[in-house]
Amino acid sequence: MSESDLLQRIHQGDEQAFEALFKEYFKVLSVYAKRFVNDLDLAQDIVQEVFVRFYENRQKLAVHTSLKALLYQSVKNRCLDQLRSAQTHQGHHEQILNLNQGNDVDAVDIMEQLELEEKIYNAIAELPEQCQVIFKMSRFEGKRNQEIAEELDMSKRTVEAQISNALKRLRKDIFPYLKVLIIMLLHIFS
Amino acid sequence: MENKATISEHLLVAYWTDSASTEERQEVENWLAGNEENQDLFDQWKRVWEQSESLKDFEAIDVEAR
Repeated sequence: MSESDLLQRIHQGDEQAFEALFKEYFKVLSVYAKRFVNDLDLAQDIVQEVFVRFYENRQKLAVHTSLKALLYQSVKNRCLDQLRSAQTHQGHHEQILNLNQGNDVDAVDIMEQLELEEKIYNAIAELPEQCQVIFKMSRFEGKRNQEIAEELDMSKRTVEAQISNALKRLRKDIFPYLKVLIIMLLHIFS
Repeated sequence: MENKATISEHLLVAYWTDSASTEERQEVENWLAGNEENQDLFDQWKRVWEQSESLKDFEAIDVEAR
């Protein structure tokens, strides 16, 4: 379904179309919101609220750029509101500083980057369970192959093979997209 | 020096995370020097590796629960 078809159906109050939109964007927008508010639960609440408002206002929605851009912008605005209202708390001053510094970052660039991150997540999620576990221990816990092998009671060779499998998968699933992304960014900056 | 056309991918991870032995580092560097395309491949993999930072957040979000 094209974006304009989807929007048309949402305009008409088609809940299924709305749900499809929600499912497509909820995760990626929540990760985006977390960049501002630094709390994943709060980020999800904000995104949910944006969707609720979006649905309530569906009759008078004017999409100037794209539905996607509108959603990102709405989430960003809500996050900024949230941070402003929490401004009295000492701890948030720093976040607001970071926020202001980040304002110049090209919005298109951020959207593309987050989509890439979601694609990586999807690619990893399709790996066999054991391969995922090993990849995450290596990537997030910074564990050496030998440590992983001991912890999971397997040979170092197996760990190495699984890490290689994960990278092969990423090459297959992500690289074609990466090439398109690079070409696109070259166009934007040329 | 031998220039291998292929590399065991796990060596790249060891290289990025500074857990490669001297020999392993040398193997990666030989591979990189062997072919321009290898450098390209290396850069793309490294980018994907670094960009996987938010994987945990994506995982923690349950869309169905909303």
